[in-house]
Amino acid sequence: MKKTIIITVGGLLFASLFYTQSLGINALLYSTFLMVALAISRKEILLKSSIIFSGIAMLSSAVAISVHGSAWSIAAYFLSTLMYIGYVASYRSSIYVSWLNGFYNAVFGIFHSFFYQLEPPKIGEPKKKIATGQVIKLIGIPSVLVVVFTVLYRSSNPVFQKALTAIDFSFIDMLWIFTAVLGAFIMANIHDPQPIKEVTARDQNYPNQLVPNALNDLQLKSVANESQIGFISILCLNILLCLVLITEILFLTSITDLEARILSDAVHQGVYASIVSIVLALGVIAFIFRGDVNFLKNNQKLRTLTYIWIGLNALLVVSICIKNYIYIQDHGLTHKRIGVMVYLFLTIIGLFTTYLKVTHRLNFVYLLRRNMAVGYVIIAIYALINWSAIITDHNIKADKIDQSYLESLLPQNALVLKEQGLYDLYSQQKSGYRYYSDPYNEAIFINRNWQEFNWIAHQLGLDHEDLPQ
Amino acid sequence: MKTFLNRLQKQNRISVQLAGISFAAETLDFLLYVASDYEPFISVGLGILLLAFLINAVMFLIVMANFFLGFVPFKEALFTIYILLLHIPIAVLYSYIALQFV
Repeated sequence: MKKTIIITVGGLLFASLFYTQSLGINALLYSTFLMVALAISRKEILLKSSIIFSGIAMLSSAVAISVHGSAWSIAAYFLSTLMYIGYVASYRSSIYVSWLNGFYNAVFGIFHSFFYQLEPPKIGEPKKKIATGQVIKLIGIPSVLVVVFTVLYRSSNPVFQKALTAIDFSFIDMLWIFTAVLGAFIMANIHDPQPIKEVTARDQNYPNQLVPNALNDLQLKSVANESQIGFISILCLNILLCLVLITEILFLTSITDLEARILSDAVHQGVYASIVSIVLALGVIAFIFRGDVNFLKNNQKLRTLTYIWIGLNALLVVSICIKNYIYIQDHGLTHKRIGVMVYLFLTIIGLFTTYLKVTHRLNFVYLLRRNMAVGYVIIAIYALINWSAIITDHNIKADKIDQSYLESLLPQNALVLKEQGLYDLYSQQKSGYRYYSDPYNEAIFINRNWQEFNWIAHQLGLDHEDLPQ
Repeated sequence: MKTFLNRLQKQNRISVQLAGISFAAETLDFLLYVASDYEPFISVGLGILLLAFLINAVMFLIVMANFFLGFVPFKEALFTIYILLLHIPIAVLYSYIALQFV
């Protein structure tokens, strides 16, 4: 009974909040309902830290949607919602398994008992076969009879015809009903989330620590050879990176004399290539220290070289950061330039977790777990902030105005543009920039239903009301 | 997965497998198009979509007929039909994203 009520309310709420509406405060309301519904069905695990954390992440990204509604906040909202459902299904799993469990429940939750044969199939029961046919007959035959006789009576009785014509079913919106059914289906899928048992059990039983193997002489020799190859490789890569860093220092010291185009190339191509090289470096370290090399007694030199390489890679990150910073100072902020900074921050964390992996003899799964969790947290925090407004404010104050770029950031930067007296000009979007998303339409953006509430649209609407008629 | 598929009745197993194959083909074509921006992939995608639609429509009718004749348990039929219908939003999503690039 409780289940039926939750599913029905879920469907009706889904249709009321999302049918023909843009995302706004509806995401926050639906998330709140989802939390209450899951709390009802899973009281016992409500206060687990992973569930509290993912619930807060889901609600805060929903708040970000109703405040500025950037594409990142929407992406973070979906990621957080899947994660929340996944953690309710299994609160001790890794973050990527929680996403997998969340997706599994959102799409296939209703079939969980069927997948795991939790209830026996009901084939071959004659009662059911008769019942299905009987139901069809019960509905079909009277319906046909009623329609036929209604047509006949309508022709023979003008009063009846008039009464029939007066009946107006135009208020029934079939698409609304379809959306409600879809919402009920989604709620039926997620009202009692269950994990993918095999994957979740494997994940929960997989430790972060590497386990030493008992090796015979031949295997020991092979591991020693591997360690030797690793040592020589990392030594060569250290020397190469030292040379690269010297040229980086030379480049950074001569940067004042360089043209903007050269600086731009250095940042755009150089940054991506350097980041790929650092990610590859992490891969090489993870590969060399994947197993028994960690437990060799005389691997101290290899470890030291690895720490040096991690340190040098960190220096490379710092040099990229300086280049990007100089580029921002010269040409202003953009989403891409902020993205590079975020990427560099993630890389530093990746280097640190790799250092921990080597020091504490941890496995690759540890790297995957920690780095994905940190990556998600950074994305979730990044999505809370209205970067378009910050970029616009910074660029205007620093006098680095690129009209077409600032126009492309609408509507998230609308309030800043308004404050600076540029909104009326920029909102017309006449600079000829090719937009990848739909161009900004003020009328559509401001005239929103309550479900689509957005703080920026609300403020713009208030400003319009204040204008003298 | 294999064990689960083996549990299904033959026509349902084939339906699920065909839906999986057409989903994989569409996804591959979509990813190739997004990665390369090579327009003939759109035509190939439409071809795959048409073929998948025809095959899945036939399988859908077979599954429905079997269900109404009482040869298939309710949940198994529902699951198979769901997998066949799941194809529609995925195709719409791929087409929508691909059209943004054109």
